Amino acid sequence: MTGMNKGFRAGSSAGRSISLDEKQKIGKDSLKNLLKHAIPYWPWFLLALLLVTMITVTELIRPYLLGLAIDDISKAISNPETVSDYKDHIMSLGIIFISVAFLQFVISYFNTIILNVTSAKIIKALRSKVFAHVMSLPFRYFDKTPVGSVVTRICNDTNSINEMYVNVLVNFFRDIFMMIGVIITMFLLDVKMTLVVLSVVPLMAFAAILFRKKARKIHTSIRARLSAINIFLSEHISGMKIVQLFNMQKVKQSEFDKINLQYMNENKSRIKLWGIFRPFMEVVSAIALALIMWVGGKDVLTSTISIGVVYMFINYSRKFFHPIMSLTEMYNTTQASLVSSERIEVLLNTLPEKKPVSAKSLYDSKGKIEFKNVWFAYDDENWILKDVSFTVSPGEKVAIVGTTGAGKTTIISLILGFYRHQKGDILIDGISINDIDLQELRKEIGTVRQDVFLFKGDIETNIKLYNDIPIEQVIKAAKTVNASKFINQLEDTYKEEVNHRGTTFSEGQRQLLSFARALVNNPKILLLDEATSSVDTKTELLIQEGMLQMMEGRTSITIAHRLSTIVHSDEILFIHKGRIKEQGTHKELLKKKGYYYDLYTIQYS
Amino acid sequence: MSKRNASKYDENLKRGIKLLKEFLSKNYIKYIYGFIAIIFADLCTMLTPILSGRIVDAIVNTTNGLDNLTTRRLLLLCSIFIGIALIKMLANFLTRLFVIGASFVLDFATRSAMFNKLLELTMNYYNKKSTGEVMALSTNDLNAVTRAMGMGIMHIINTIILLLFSATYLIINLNVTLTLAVFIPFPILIIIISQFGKFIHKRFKKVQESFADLTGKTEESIAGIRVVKSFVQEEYEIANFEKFNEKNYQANVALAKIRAIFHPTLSLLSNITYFILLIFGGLIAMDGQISLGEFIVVNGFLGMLVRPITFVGMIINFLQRGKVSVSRISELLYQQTDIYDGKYNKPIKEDKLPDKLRGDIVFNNLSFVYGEKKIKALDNISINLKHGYTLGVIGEVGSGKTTLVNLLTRVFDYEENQGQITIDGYDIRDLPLHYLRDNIGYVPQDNFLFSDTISYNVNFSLKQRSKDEIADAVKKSNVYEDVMEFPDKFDTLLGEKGVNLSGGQKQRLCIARALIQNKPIMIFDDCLSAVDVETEKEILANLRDEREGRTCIVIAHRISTIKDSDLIIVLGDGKIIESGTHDELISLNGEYNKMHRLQLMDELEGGAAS
Repeated sequence: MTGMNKGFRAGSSAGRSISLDEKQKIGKDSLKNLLKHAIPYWPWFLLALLLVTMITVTELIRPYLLGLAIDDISKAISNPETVSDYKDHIMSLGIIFISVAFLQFVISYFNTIILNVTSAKIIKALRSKVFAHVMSLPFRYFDKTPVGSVVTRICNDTNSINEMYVNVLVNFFRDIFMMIGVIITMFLLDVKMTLVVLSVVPLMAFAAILFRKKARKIHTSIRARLSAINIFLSEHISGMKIVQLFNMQKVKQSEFDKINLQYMNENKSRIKLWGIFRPFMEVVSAIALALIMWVGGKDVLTSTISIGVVYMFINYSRKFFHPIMSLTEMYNTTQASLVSSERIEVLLNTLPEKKPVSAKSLYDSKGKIEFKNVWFAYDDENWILKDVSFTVSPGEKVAIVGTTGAGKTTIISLILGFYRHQKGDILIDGISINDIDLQELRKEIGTVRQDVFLFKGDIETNIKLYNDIPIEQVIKAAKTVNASKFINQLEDTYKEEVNHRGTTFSEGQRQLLSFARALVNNPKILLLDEATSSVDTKTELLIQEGMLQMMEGRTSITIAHRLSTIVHSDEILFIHKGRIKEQGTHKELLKKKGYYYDLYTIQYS
Repeated sequence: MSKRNASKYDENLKRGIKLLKEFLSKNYIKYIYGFIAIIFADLCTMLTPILSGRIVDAIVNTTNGLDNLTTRRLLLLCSIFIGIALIKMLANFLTRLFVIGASFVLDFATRSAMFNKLLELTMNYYNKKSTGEVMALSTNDLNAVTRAMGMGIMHIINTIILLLFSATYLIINLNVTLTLAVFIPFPILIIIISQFGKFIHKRFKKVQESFADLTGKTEESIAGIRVVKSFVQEEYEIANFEKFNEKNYQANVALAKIRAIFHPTLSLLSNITYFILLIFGGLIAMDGQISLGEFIVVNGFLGMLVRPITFVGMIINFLQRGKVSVSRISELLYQQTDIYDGKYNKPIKEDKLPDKLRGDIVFNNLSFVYGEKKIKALDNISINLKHGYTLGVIGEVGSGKTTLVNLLTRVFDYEENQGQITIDGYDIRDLPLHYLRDNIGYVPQDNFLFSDTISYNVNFSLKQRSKDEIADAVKKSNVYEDVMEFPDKFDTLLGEKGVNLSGGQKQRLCIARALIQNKPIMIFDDCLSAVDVETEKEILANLRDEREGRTCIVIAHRISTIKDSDLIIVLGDGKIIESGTHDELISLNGEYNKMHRLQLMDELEGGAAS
């Protein structure tokens, strides 16, 4: 497969640093982990192994038949009077030969099909498992892991395991069976000659071990260089404007040539290594050939063995050496598969979002939200929220204001159960959030995030997502939030195509769509992170109106940037460095002449 | 493929082959050495079965009393095998070194040339191509070309030489009928392989396409995970993923089915050649038309030819993919950049220009139309910005703010008769491109930084500045304290392998990067949007000193950012709707005032403020 390095750019979410060590350690369990995915399919693999054994036998028969034919010829030459007998004999050998060849054809065909299909099934099942698991993972995982690497886990790593099953695993057994089969056949034919063939094995094994070590190093290094090139390219394609405006083309070219040159040099080392290894193995097998011819030749002269047997040994020795080479070269694929398998294992072992032991039902939710002395930190002690308490009664509109990094978004994330608070309690309708099934909870909540994510598809599915909602309800939601105006102007209205990431829609249109999306399920609670990026004044008014419409009759918490949103709130929470500093209506807070008043005067006067 | 695309493909292919020819004319000696080595290697390959045949004949003749093979002579003959293998080892090593080595020189040179071209190309190109597409040129396509020019050429030459040599040898030294009989399956083999190759290629492409779809879907689900989870769409996402997974599975099975026939067919055909040899060769050997040794030679030749011939399909595939890729790569390499020196007039020689521009910028009846859709981005803009003054630009999204500075920095060029931009009286298109840009400091909207250290990113120029200078710039842009909090301070790596900065931190580093360059003209393109109000105030205060003696253009959404500008223009649909100072614009009671009020809160809602 060609590498599908599309160079995904990780979403610039979440602050903390990430250092994913690509060179994961490969433990003893790696192979076990890799193979365990195949366990449910063991009968198929057993069948494949049986077929491989049969193929090996047919492979062994061929040189034997040719050897017999050679003996026939040699005998026919020495005894010209019996030629016709030998001619009959060679004809029957030929028939056996071609029958065996057809048999091998049929067996190989079924073997390949069984292996490939079984392997494809394993990979399909594994992929589904990994994807479903990823869907269940908590937010911390996605904060830490770039999108590209999750995609690689699900798509590419599973592919590399496929390689393992289709090529490596069976070739491995085929090679081993072949070696065993050849040794047995050789011993049965002639012990002395067998020992002659085996005498070169130490030399071969030595070369193979040496090669393996070097090859591993070079291949790892090539992979690293290639990925450096890819990272450099993708970054500079995105940042080309900056390079050009700062007149940095020459510097960048030389930086690029440096890593490009390293890549070429590593490749040249690889060429040299391979250029030595394979030909060297051929030299060793030539030594074996010379020995067979010499020892065998002498024995033929003394009539101890026949010339046909010598021929068989020449052939069998090749069949014996070939697996040694291919087993050595197989190492690379195995290594890549093992690394992939290990990575998938790590992913599968990441704990999913916690589910409460006995979930209390949110049946007929009212939409009351309570924070009781909540403390929260993304990492151990770096508290983002400190002792936060507030209550939002059903139907109340609450605005959260404060400077950047005060912890506003965190409050919303906690209500959605994206993260677990460490101290205190969060209650929804009087039930602790820890006792509520998160999926059930989220169904009661409509959210609007600052950055609107649109899926490939059409407008309708972007509003209702995959929920089973009639189009009338979609249109109603769009109308309520003022999105219907622009949708109706589109050529295909609600069926208008949305491309990858919805780049054809303006910022304001995207926001309106996300309002409709939040509203379409008729949620009891709305959590809104007001977008800061400005849109034109007309859209701005549409958005404001839309927001007010949405909030009607629902509990809402809004991270507010617009004053119009703030003044329309029943209550304002002013948050500063993780603490609620002030709480009250707009008028009340202004009278206080405290934090809120300061912010207000800086921002709006 | 439409006719137009097809002819474009042909043209690119022609140019690509021209490039390859140029490469070959410079590196042909490597290939010639490589071919000589291949000939030696192939001769050695042929010698082994021939020698085996000779030894067998000598043994058979000795047992029949026609020859006298002594043990010594036998040992001598056998040791030749090792000699042959050693020569072959050297020849093979040299072949790989020359031919595949040359292909990696090509790989290096092409990748370097591609990057060089990428550095030259303008936003007109990048707006049309996705990062993934351009990357694929350097990975998949270049890889295909390298393989075709290395492995591909090596194997094809090897196969041709082996076939020619062995056929010639057999026809000269052995029975012609036997040679023909045994060689009959080979052309059939080649035809079957190339036909199969097409099928396999087709299905392989399906596999790749379904895999790309699967990857695309997965990428979307993961990138949108926050929406998926918030709206409890996990199960639907899984079900949807299953569809793509199933498609990929079906494509793989379809490929497996055809592959399962392919390889056994190859070995069946090679077995048929052995069968012909066994029956036909065996019978004529018994009749004494050929010797046993010669039977063994033919047998050895078959063994030697079967493998390269089964490779032919693979190589044809290599070459075909190489061809398609060459055309794609040459499309990039022959891409015309649309902004360059001398595009209009010959640029003014640098020694006739001052060291630095003063910064009197005049936009004169400037208009600009974007892309194929002919969207009017700027409409008759005239601004006279004196040296040392600050221009504030405000307006709706898509009103032309960024276009204005893109034209000033020549990210795009305005057309003839569409107005003019001059700096210090020079038409900017008469200035050398790099000179123009050397005089402009720029803070981009998208706060782009490179995955390198903080000091590399702030320094970002040919000049290596001192630590103090870097620290100074970082202080001015209010990000010094943040930097000092990182473990490696100024040596902290940014990006995926290092620290991920917040949007505000990035913006401030971008400001530092522009400040340190000390340019007479500065452009701030909406570069304070991600910092909070208080930080913005501090940065603006710092910049006030920096702006002294420089001409600045500040683009913003927040009025607070541009309030103090000497001149503010309000853009709407590419036109200047209003212009003046803050106070003038407020008293004008127009769009600006409306925006201002919206940002403050309009009078009705803002009643609380009184």
